[in-house]
Amino acid sequence: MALKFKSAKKSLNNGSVIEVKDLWKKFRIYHEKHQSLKETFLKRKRVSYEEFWAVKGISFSLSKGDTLGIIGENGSGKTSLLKILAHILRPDEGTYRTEGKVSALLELGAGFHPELTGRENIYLNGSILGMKKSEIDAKFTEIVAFSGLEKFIDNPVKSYSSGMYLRLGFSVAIKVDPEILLIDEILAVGDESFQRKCADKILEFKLHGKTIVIVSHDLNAVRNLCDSAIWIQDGCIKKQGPSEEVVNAYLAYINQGETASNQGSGAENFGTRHGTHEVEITKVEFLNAHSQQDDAFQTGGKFVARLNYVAHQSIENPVFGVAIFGSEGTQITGPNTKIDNRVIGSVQGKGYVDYIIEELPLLPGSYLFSAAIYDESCLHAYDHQEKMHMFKVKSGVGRMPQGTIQIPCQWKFGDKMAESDLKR
Amino acid sequence: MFQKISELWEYRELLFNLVKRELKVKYKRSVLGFLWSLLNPILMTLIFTFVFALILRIRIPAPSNADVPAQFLFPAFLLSALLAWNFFSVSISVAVNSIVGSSNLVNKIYFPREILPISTVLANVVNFLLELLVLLVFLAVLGFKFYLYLPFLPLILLIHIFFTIGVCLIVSCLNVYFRDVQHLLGIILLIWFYATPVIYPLDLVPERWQGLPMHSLLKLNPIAAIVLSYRDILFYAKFPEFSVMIYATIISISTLAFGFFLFNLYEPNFAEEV
Repeated sequence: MALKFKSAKKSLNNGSVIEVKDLWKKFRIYHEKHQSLKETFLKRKRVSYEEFWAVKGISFSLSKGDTLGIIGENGSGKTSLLKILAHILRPDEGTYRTEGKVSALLELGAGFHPELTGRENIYLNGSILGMKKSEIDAKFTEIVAFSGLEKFIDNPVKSYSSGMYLRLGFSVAIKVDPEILLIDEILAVGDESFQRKCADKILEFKLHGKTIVIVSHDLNAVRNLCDSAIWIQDGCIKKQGPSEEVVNAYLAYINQGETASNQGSGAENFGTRHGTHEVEITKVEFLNAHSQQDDAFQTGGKFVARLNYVAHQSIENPVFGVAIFGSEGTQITGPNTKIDNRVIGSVQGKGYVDYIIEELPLLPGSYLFSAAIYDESCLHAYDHQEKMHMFKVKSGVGRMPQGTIQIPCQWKFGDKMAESDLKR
Repeated sequence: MFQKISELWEYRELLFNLVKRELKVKYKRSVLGFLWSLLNPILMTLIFTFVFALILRIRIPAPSNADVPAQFLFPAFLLSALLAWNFFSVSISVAVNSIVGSSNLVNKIYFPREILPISTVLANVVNFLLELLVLLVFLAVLGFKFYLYLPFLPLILLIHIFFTIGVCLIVSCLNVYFRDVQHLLGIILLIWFYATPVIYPLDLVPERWQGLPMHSLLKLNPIAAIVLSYRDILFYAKFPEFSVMIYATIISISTLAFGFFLFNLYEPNFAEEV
């Protein structure tokens, strides 16, 4: 017995800390929920219900230090999968193994009792999350400081505002020290600054080599935080791979759905904008080789996008980014100053940043353009103008190939045509 | 089973904290605090003494080894069993809701679910012990010689706790699937109370009634066996009947084992059912 257990552990050690094999989970949807003894015992007829498979044969494995994002539409089975990993739900078929201490942050402030004080609830909530008393003792001051609730810590939490409640819950939650962290959508609660704190903390976990699984609708966070991602659709894995690829595929799928549903309205969809506006993009200008404003460019010509910004306060190392989309919504490129290792330093007041392409490889057509300013971690948007701008590429000299992009290439013919050498 | 126990041991701090939570919340913001939980047995004693000792004239013979004022005989007789019964019945009526009432925890966090009903029972143990302490002072003042067999009290208490936890595991688990368990329980506990010789001495029950061996039947009730043991030690200052003790022990441990078994069987589905 002991030997068997050891060998199982060893095989797990060799790389993966989470191993999920062909997981299936079904729920019963009762047409009429009978929860009384009389109905069950007297009516011999079975209660009518439908079976619904929430998770259908999902397999994956994660190595220590990996960060996995799980994305997908509502009701696709993401949370069920996470709950299985957290031992809350039992799968109907398949196996899963996790190694090391697992902490699941599915709800902030779980088990808080309104009548108890903040202090008492920290201990209660901490122990619910699996922390030892000595651990909580050691981290208590930090927890209180992080929550910023020093003054209220001895008041019952029922007197807290919902924001304070959340902050306290989060401050405890981030002090758990698991090897595997499972997070469900808590990034989505709270105000912007709270969300940023959240993201920073997760980044810190990541730096400490923890294995993290995040279920999120915040695709940007998934893109930036996660190494790999899984897109779940109707309980099955639709796509699995590097987070960038998976998120893009998912976005393309969603956009497709949106275009389909938008058809008929005919109107041009002029994007969306979000962010906290400490620094704003006031104007995006497209400039040609002569530094003149233009909205039609030539393949192979110079293309400059000038992002005019105004910073209402001093901002340390903001990251400027742009993205170009084809008319079908496919993203063609999406660079930012962080990826390209350009550090701007602190900005304040007005200024501009140029995104320069010396030889535009785009083929004739219409293109949508996004511009954004993010904080240093690329998680918090100051101003994100998604597909709010547009430019055209017009036909240049000579015949153009079909498609969206011109890729430099060469042709070479093999030498099997001996009689007439076609080589130029 | 051993795995379960070691897991529960690992979560002992959570158990401890939940017990603390239950106790704290109970007495928070009330001036009298713990005194409230004394008020209930005192009131019950007054009422039962009025009805049974004054009106119905139930005479409780004084224990041979104590010289006690007659008017205190019935209250002492009653309380020596009533507190034990109360611990049992209050634990069950609270624990029946322990899983269903904590759906926000069960749905969101993993921990051994047994902790919920067990913490309810343990919080009530603390209450019970405090009440017992007050009772001991009361009995000592009256001149009862309960200290003769007091060292056996913890043993009875242990059997009592095992049985209570066992029943709580069963009802809290069943209540997840059939919510009317909690309503049914009130009626069952009322019948069970009168089927247990708490307010009447066993001697008043006819040995045989309509051909039924009433005494043996009453003693089959495990909680009667336990409650009578408390009374033997506290009121009569004598060692409980040995066979009764053995019976209570066997029943308690089997109930506890069955409770764990049943609970374990259904626990994995709790999160989707609550």
